[in-house]
Amino acid sequence: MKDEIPKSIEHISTGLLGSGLLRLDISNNAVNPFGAEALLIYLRQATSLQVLLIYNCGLGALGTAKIAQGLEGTPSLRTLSIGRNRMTDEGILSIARNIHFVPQLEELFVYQNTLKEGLELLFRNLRENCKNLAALDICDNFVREKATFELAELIKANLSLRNLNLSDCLVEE
Amino acid sequence: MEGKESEVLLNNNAHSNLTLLVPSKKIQINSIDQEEAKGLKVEEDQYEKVAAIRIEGNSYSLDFCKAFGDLLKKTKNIKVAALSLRTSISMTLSSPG
Repeated sequence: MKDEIPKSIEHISTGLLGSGLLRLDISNNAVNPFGAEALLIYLRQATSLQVLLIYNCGLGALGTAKIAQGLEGTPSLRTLSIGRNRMTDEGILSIARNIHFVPQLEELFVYQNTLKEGLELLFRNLRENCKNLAALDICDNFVREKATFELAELIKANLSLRNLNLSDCLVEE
Repeated sequence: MEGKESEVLLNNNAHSNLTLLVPSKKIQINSIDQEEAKGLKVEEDQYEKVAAIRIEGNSYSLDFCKAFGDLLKKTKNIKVAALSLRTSISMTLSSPG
């Protein structure tokens, strides 16, 4: 399995190279970190891609870092759904650091990822780089004190935000 | 969409755009199924019309993915690739009467 999944995804990634794909849904598959590396073959030059759904794929922090690397090649991305991947703070930090590569981002779903301190940088970088953000789902994580401050700043600065899911986040003042 | 219907179906509803649909079938990733890959065919003059591919709800072998990747290379106008394993499980609990 560990060997076959990356090879399988590599075939698909290679097949998509040069396509004008707008939407890729690979959610609920056992992509794992090794498969994420294979998906990078396509993501590195997915200039037309607007929607990437890769939730519940067992990415972990390492696989999430690979997808974050891929953001460099997806300047048209408007929706990223990467919830339920056990990415932890290490994973969300890699997304936060590369979020400036997707300035047209409108929807970000990072629910159920055991996120804590990493959310602070995510909120700050979203505020500074993604002015069109309309939906943010961070359900079932931990919004600590500093992250709460940054979230408030994001809400104040971003007038396009329409949908914010903060449920089950144990928000701290 | 069950049983032996593993061939690719072409849905020509949209006139110029085609949706490539691989019927939902559960196949173990380790069971190399050459027959499954053979079913993945599109007429040569139809590739450019393929705008969407859905193979949701499947679990395919490495051979299948290779054939699928080769097919993707020929589709120049694809806009949507839905490869998710969508499981729909609903449970209704009724309280004892």
